[in-house]
Amino acid sequence: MVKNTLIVPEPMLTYAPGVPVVLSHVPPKPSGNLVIQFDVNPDFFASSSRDNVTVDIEESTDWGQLFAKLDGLLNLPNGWDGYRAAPPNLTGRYYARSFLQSLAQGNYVPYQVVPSVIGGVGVNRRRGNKKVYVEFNNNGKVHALYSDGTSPPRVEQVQPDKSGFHILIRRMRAYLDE
Amino acid sequence: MSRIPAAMRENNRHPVPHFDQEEFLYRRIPPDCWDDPAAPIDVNAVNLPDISVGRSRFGHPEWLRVDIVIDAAGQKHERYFEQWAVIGFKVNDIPSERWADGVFHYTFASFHDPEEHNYPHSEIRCFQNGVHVNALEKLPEEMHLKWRELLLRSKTIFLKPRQPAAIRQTAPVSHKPELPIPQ
Repeated sequence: MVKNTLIVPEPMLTYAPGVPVVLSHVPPKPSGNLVIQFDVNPDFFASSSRDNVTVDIEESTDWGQLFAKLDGLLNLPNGWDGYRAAPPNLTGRYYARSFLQSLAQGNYVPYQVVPSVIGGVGVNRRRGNKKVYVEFNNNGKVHALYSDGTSPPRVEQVQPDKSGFHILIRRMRAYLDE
Repeated sequence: MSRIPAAMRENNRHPVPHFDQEEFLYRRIPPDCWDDPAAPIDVNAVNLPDISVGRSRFGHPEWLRVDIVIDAAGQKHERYFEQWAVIGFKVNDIPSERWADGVFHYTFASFHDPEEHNYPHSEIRCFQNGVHVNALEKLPEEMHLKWRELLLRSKTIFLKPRQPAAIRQTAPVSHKPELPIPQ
């Protein structure tokens, strides 16, 4: 299948029902544009609704719900936290989606996919008193917090690509499951 | 009819700078962050300074469920955050200082910042070498999550999501929370 490339201004980036969309791992530009690769007619992007999302992952219903929840976070209004929080933007969602895809490949299910009050998306996984919380900031930075509730918390910056996410998942497994 | 109690309004009262170290600072938590009372609240619900809070010396936890918000057109509206959770931090438990590179000294402190409709309103603020800064912009990013996690660990839950609470009309008599919260 021939891959096409299109630079889409953030406000125009939407999905069409039933259309599989594969985001490449090209970091978003600071201007707010995302470089995406697609295997569908780009006309789909112009007329579809953000609310109707199909992702390119064949997984269980739970995974579909997680991806749908992630996409729905973009619809939060400014001040959604009752104060001044910005909603997650396409950059934060982009990296969170990529991370979820990596988790899905290993069927390593997160506990929650949630908005962050500092502007971004949080994905966490818990086991007993331990948790790993990964935050995808709207500025494109990704950090992972390792915490057991008592020891000093540890934070690592994560390389926001497939390789970085695979390393992160290995560390999550080592911290939570071993 | 306004839900904001008369005792919550500023009524020409001045700020009171002193905070008892055992005083609580209340913060409401949106359902998008915490909607299942049986689930734990996580660090995504905890902001960086400046953090708006309500101080327990002058207000009750459930008073965080009423506020004046400004809409996109700049108009003020009273909003009732029904069913939102409310947590609190003791002043003494706020992570008080951090160092970066041995040069930048970050400190955190509480300030009483009354608003016309909300006399208990206060803020947790961040200072870089004594200068008030926006922590999101100035604090080294590796400190962000640590600071928020440490603050989260110190929390006390006063209202869980969807927990009913009647809004008391009289102010508290001291900084100590008056519990249980009436339904």
